[in-house]
Amino acid sequence: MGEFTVHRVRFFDYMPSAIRAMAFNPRTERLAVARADGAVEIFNFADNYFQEKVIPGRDGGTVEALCWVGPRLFGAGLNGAITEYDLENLRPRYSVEAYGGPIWTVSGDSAGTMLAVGCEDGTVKMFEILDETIRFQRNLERQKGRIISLSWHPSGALIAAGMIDMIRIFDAETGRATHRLLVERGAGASKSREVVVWSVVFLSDHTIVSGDSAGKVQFWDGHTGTLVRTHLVTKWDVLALAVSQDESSVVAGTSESIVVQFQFISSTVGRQDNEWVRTRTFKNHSHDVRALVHTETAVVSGGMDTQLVVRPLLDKVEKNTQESSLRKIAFPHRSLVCCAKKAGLLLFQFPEHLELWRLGESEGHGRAGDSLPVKRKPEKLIHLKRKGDDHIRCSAVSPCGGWLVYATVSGVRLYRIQHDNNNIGVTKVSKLPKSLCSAHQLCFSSDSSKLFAASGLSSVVVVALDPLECKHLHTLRPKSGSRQPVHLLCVSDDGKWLASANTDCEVHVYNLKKMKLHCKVPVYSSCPTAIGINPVTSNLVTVHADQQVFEFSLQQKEYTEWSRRLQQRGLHPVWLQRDTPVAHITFNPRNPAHIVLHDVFMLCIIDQSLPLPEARTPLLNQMMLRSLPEAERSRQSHAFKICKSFQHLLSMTLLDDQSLVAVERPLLDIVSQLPAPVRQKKFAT
Amino acid sequence: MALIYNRNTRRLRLTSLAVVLLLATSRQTFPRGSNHVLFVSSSPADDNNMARKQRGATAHGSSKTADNGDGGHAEHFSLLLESSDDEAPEEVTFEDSKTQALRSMKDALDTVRREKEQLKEKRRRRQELFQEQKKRRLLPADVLEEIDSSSFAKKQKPSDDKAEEQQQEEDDEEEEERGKTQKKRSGKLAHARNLKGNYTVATVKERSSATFQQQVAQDFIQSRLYGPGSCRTTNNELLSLQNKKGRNQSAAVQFVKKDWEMAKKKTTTTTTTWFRIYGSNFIRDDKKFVSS
Repeated sequence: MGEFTVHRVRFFDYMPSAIRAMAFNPRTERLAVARADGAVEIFNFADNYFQEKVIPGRDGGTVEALCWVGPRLFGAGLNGAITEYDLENLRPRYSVEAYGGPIWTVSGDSAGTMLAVGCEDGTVKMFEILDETIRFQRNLERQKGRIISLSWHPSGALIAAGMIDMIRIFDAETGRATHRLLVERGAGASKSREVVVWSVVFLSDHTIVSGDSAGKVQFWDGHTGTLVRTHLVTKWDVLALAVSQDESSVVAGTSESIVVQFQFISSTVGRQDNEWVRTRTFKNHSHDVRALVHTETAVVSGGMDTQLVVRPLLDKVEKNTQESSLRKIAFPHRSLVCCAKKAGLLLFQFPEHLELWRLGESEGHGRAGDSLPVKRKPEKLIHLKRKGDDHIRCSAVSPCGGWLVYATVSGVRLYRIQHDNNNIGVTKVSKLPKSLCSAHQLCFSSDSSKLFAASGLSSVVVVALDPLECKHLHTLRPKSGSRQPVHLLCVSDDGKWLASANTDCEVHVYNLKKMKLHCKVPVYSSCPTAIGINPVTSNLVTVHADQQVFEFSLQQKEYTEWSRRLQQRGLHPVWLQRDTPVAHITFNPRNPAHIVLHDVFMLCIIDQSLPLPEARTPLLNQMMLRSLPEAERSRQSHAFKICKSFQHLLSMTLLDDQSLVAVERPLLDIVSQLPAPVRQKKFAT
Repeated sequence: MALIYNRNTRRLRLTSLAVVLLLATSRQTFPRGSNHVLFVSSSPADDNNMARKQRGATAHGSSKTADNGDGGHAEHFSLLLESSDDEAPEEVTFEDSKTQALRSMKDALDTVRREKEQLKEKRRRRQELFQEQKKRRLLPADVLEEIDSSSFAKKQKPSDDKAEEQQQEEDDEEEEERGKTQKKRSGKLAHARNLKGNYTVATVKERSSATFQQQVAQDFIQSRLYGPGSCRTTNNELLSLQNKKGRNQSAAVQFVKKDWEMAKKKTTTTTTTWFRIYGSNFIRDDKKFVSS
């Protein structure tokens, strides 16, 4: 049935960026994550923690703090400006200079009317939140040190600010500093080092919780300005604090990579004398934990090891269910690799440059599992640095390998690649149509004659490719008028159909011969993570964030028979419990019944001619089938053939010459390049 | 003039006052075991002359010598006289002692001046060396002139040129590393010029004070988290500890060189495997399906 040579590619040096700050919006259940390179990612917690949107960063733009005010997202960084992000066009909407030097923290009050920022020069600046912008209102009393952290009292009348060696309580109405809480320095050698209050939280009963660089979590009485309780949690810094919605639980993240939970309970059952007691310790990271969020049911932490960890609290969720499992999101949920199928080229997208590689060649045949000798090594053809400061948002290479395009927040750049015998020439196409100003997704047609760019309002711009001047052919618009960005684009091999999916869970199909909307797939509640059009049968296959698989016939404009059977039977529970989304769908031109898809941990070939698996039988039955004789095999095999030998997969495509390309990025390679962790002395090591 | 050689400390001491004792020529000899050896610079005949001169000028000479810090000399005098108490002290003429004193002062001044000159010379030589090195580092004068003239023309597009320069440098770097395939940069900018060597000169964007403040803030975080006193270790150690404490204990993760990653990438890249799917024959994998 299927024998493939597999190119195992490990030369993609993908290096994720450390997580710097997080903010959770409980109403929309979205988590905003700010990375060290300035990128902001939005995760949808209601939809299986799918990474919906990515706003790329820029050089020199760091984000130190994020804050949700209603549906709006604000961020502030060390460049001294407060930025509001446009979540529909995936770009910064505007930036307001605070004129206070680098901004360390930003926080909105519970009413959503004021925004307070803590600056390097020691001022807390208050900004009024208007409909379209924010406006500076006033400064609070200026202090002598930098303001590292801020917290509003839920009533909006008081602000606690953590500085160096002390915490100040301000009255928000008058702007005066009322109390000064002096934080003790560490013992011993660290007595000479100033203690930095990295994080403060103001609770509604006027308790202030602070985490500082001496490793203490301290509870203060905000009325009198006195220390109630000190907990020495770690020898290193306590970098982040988060409090739950009902204020009964506080979590603290440390440099030692542990997260400690404190709960407001009484030490003996039945009595009412509640106090803050240290309860749980979570050790899910290997490096510093710099950002924390406490949702209703889980603790979300992120730090220098670049992984986002969601730890459900077992007293809030049911044990041993899908809900209560630990989730680690280490890789992006969108593809950073584009493959030129006919030419055997791979395009790797980095935030600051692009790399084009030619795959190596091997010879000979072998048995399953053999390593073949490499006749010609893969070589890097082009290293293209992006122009300007903005990071690359998306990129594509045409199937013939002759065109290269990338888009940033500010523009799109198209290049023509000429292959001579041993020489590669790259020329920029200077004249692009005006409608091609920015793109969320890019895709080439299979005959390399057209470029499709997804731009604002879920529309797709079609551009004819020409080495001298590219002309705008058409703009395809959906009827629904959705404002959400398109995150998936797919064109069929015969050039007749184009499918686009946006983050509103809508999938639109356009007829390219007539250049108009063909149909809209019925909206499913979960966001599609991968789409593909079968070259032979013209069926659209979509896989969603909750791991559901659908097949839609474009000719008949309805779900196919196979898809209905699958829905009736239901997918196998092991399939549904996977926690990484399917990133790419591809097809085998020789066998139209095969659908090849992959996620981070597995490669799967769905054979539509075989029966669907029963819920009772194991899903991963490849090993078992190998041991059976031929006759038995055909009876036992089912449609889902899963291979887990390649990890961690960033991309998997099928080339025209029937070879698979698996781009792997082992976690070990990433961990070895992270910044230094703390030195921990463990017993017996 | 007398040179006194101290056998114990092996030091030669020159007495400025010419206290000449006729010990060498007198009948009195030094007791055995004495640590002082006296070398008398003048011959006995001269001594007599000196004595005569001294006798002749004792009137004002001795008083003068008495005034001129005689205490120190008197000490020498008394020490030396330990062995011969009954001999009359030798008289030294004032002129002699004066000339001696003046000469010694001149000598001292001379040495100081000489040292100063030596230092000055050394400093001058170092300065010259630095100038020469600096001259070597700068481009030749004609190149600088050309840059100067072209920089006015290029003032409109400073940022592009800087990017071009970076790309040029980057490309040059890349070209050196991978000599086989050639690459050309796209979009040759009209205002960029290729000067001698691999340089493209462009006006640089002005660094505002905001970036300086940003740098200060970043340095603050960096020093607090990774600076001295932060007790950090390496990723190598972290991974090695994990190996040691893990279920399948294995060896430490050893990076042979610091740029192991880069070296590894250059040599081994892909391995092609041949594998089959017809409902079976996948390579076994022990990992759980749900991610761990």
